[in-house]
Amino acid sequence: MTTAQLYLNCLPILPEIILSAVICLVVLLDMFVPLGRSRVVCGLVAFAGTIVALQVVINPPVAVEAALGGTFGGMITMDGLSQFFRMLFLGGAAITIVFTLGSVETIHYRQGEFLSLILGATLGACLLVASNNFLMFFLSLETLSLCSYVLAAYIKHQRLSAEAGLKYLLYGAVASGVMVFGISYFYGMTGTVQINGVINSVMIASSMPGFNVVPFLLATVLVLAGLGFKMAMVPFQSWAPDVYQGAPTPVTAFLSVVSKGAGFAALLRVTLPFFATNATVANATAGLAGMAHLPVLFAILAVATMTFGNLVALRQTDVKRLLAYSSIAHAGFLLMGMSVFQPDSARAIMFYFFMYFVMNLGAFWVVIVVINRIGGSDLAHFRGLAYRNWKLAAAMFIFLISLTGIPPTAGFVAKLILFKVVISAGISAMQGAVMTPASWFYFGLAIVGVINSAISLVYYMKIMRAMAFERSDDSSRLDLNWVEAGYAMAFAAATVGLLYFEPIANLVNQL
Amino acid sequence: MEYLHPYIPILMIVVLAAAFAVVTIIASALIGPHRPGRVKALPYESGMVPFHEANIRLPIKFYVVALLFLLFDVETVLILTWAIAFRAPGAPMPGFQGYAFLVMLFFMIILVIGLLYEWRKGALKWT
Amino acid sequence: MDKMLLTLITFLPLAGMVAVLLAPGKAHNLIRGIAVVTSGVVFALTCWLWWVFDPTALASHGYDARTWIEIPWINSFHVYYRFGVDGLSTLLIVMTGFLSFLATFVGFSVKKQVKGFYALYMLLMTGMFGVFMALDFFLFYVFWELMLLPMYFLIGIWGGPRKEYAAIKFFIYTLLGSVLILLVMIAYYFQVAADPKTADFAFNIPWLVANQPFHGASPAFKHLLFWGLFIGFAIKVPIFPFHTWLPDAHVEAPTAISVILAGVLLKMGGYGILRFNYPLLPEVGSTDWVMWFLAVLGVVNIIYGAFCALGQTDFKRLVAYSSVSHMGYVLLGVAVLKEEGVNGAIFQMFAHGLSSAMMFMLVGVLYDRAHHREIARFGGIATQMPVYFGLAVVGFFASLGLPAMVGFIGEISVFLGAFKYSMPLTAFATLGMLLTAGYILWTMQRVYMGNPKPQYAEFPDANKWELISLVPLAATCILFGVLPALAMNIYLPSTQLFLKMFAQ
Repeated sequence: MTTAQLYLNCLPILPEIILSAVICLVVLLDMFVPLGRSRVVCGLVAFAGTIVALQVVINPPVAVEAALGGTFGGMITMDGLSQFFRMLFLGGAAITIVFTLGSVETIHYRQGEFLSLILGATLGACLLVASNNFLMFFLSLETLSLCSYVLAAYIKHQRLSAEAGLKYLLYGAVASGVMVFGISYFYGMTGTVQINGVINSVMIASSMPGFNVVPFLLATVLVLAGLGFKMAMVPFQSWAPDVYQGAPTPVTAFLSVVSKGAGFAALLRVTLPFFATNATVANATAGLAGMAHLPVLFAILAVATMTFGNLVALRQTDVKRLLAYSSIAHAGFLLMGMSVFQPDSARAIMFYFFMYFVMNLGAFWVVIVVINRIGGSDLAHFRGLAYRNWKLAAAMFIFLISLTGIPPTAGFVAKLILFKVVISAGISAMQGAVMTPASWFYFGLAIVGVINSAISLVYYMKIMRAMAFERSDDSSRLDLNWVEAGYAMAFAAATVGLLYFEPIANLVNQL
Repeated sequence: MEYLHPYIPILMIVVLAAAFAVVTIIASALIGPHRPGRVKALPYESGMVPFHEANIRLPIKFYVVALLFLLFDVETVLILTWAIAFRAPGAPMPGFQGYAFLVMLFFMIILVIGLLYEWRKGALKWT
Repeated sequence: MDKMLLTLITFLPLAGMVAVLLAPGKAHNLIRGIAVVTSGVVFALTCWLWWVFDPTALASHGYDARTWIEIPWINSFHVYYRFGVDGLSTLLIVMTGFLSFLATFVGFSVKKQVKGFYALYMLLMTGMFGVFMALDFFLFYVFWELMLLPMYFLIGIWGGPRKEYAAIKFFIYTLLGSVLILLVMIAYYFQVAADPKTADFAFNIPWLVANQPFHGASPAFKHLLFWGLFIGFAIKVPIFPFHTWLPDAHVEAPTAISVILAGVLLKMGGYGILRFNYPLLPEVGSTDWVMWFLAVLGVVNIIYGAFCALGQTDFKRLVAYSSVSHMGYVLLGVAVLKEEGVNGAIFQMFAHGLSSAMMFMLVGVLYDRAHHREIARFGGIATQMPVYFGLAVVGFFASLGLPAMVGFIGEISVFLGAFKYSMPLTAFATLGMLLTAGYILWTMQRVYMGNPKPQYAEFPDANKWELISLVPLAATCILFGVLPALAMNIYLPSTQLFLKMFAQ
């Protein structure tokens, strides 16, 4: 290894380096720019920096190609998965920064710290999806988590926000502890913390006769607990409603896409090598050997998560809280894709996540605007919105329809592709025209998914009803500034425009 | 279980240490003379009589200083170990020192920014 | 130009919607003007389509070659932007253009949130035209669902007292149906896309019809697909027992929307059955017991709808149930798979589009004045509003199926087809005609005849906007009753192609 290679090592993580530099810059700026101007100045710098980093991810410098593969002694890996999710995370961070600038919730607090925390969390998420080493994995997860805890509690004078931060911290600490325990199991079993090394050892061992699956499953479940916490997966979801409701709304939006995405990205990172193998449910029901337990495990988790999220969401009256449960339900749908355990399903998950990213951010933006202008996120604040500002209401309709999965929106194609993967797994498990247990399993899973989509319609419709069919006491017109209206419109246009999903499909297929 | 063999000395040390502690405490309790008295039971053997509860509220500044100290202390520990680890074994690669120096320089810059931040935030102010 | 025609017809309303949205919310007349101009231009374009469409020169896939358009849209999913028309869809498209143009005028009675009303109305138009033109399964499904949302809001915001209930019911029924259609679509996708050679045709309706990918599948599975599609479309038609959303939705919807609902949306169910259900699975459709079952179901629809109509006290509800009854003829005509039957079913769709739209408009005119719809409280309207009464006679008799009126042709043709299939069943079905005559005449007697009531003495006769929408409908009801060939010629070749699939 020459020195030049040492420097080249840094190129793949150039976006992260840029991000770190921007964090330092924002912190410095915040110190020296007068309070009144710091909001805009820091915001713009943070936004510009994120965009530059995003640009580097999309068009990597030529040398990155040469340095691809393991870098930093195999700590970092650069592949389609990490490229895709880094793009999403940086995009999510940039959007969250704009959300922050457009929201009044954090206006009385210093922005520099807020923004640098968002960037810090993004940094953690980006490194998490790229890490190929359990130590790195854990470190970046903690970077993400620690920043998120502080962000959730950022409006420290509000009881709900402080509660959110504390709850998040407590749950998070336990979850990471459990995860480290699981990682130690893997280390104990295989003698390495290199993720691909662990996976190789497990794969080889599992194909041997007399492989004891119990410690492996135990370790997997323990690691899954840490990631499940990030994904808001049942049974690690109980923090989500309180945190989503209490945190400032831009942070909620950030958590619902970037933090959740990081969880799924990490899960994919760990399970992706198994996808290429033949670890399908067909094998599971045949002999219950090897990795075949995982699809069943994911299916159970998926059904539990989406059903729980949807059923509890039915009774919610706070839109932020409702969206929290809806985001739990969406985690369930994404997990449904995990249960298929094929490269196709990884693509479907990424595809779904992209669509979810757009529509969910859009929905949260509308919530931010409503909080700005009407003063709360309760269902009552949405009453009669269609008559007070039709643009905002129309945008919200589109997001809600999309979250339900009704055409002509992005959510429809996302669900379509996801269900397609599940059903085709069922079909390929069939022997001729004869149903096997595995095909029943996948068809059943798809049916549960469809039923859950139907349930979700009920509570999304609750918001639609409040906006269109009810009237508020204050029926004055709601005048938005061009940022508020334009942003909502842009997201709505994207949500409908993604019905043409060819570019996203191509992007995902590069994996 | 072969791979656990190198750990046997460590296990022996742990056992020995624990045994030593337990043995000395029990032995002194058995062998030593016992003449308890009121003065001996007081917290301070100097004769000072405590006049209020021991757990009082300390000013938060102490905590801040302790926190900052801890931070920089850990960083010192890191720098020291790093210096040892980066003393490349065998023939040093040309230009490696420069690389290593740059890496640590960035670390130090971030540290300085942190220090600046503390300063501007008033964390170093005592009054 | 011809290549762009279908695209223009479908998406011009969308441009109209944008124009409406850009207009200031207070400028009601401007918005109405935009709506009238847009729907007028669209109607003109549909007439042009009627003009350029040559039923005798269909391409090999059975659709008009000049207007056929096929552009790859989403390659990775084999979705095409594929629009095409045959005789059946051309007729329904012209009818849709006609009705949506006229209903724009009817919509003038909407006084609140005019902007939102017309914006959603335009969106609805795009959905309707798209459904009749799309020949890509995916595209069809998107348009099918696209209709659902504006309709939900149009009923839910501008509707009557129980609008919310009606809107939700409509939404859930229709969504349930479309989920079934979606499932069948996915089944076809998997069957076809599994083979890389045919994958590109996964959503290609003409190809699926011609190649029958499920030809070798087990009968049980084919039945599953058939009934999935059938229920999906039957909800829209609506066919007993999936009809219960219809009276609520029609009664609560504002008049203009009732016109569209009855005139166009119900036809989509019939269109779906004719375009997708039977051609995709002809073996199931021509099974003996399926033919019997569906024919009987059609008769049940006729009789049941008529009996329900007889029992109604609400004028609009009566008209709604008459729709259920009339759509039964469509099912009966299709189910027997005889040339007369299918021709009659298509004509009946057309006729019912005209006559039921007119009836809803007539009820709307009365409701705008009396603000109630109870039949028992009306009476003697004929003397107060003679012009209106004259038009009402045309509309109701057209619906009744009086010879030389548009309704007669469809019904008699369906009966001719059904007679070839089973005489007793037809005899039983003709009972429906009797009942129809019963409730229509009885209603006319109660509402229009009798002594003039003093509380209605102030009622002005039909105004110019009402006349603009009613007179053309009355004229067409008579025109196509006298000259049915005008409409029939356009779809006869398509019917023959349709029936060829069942000739064993």
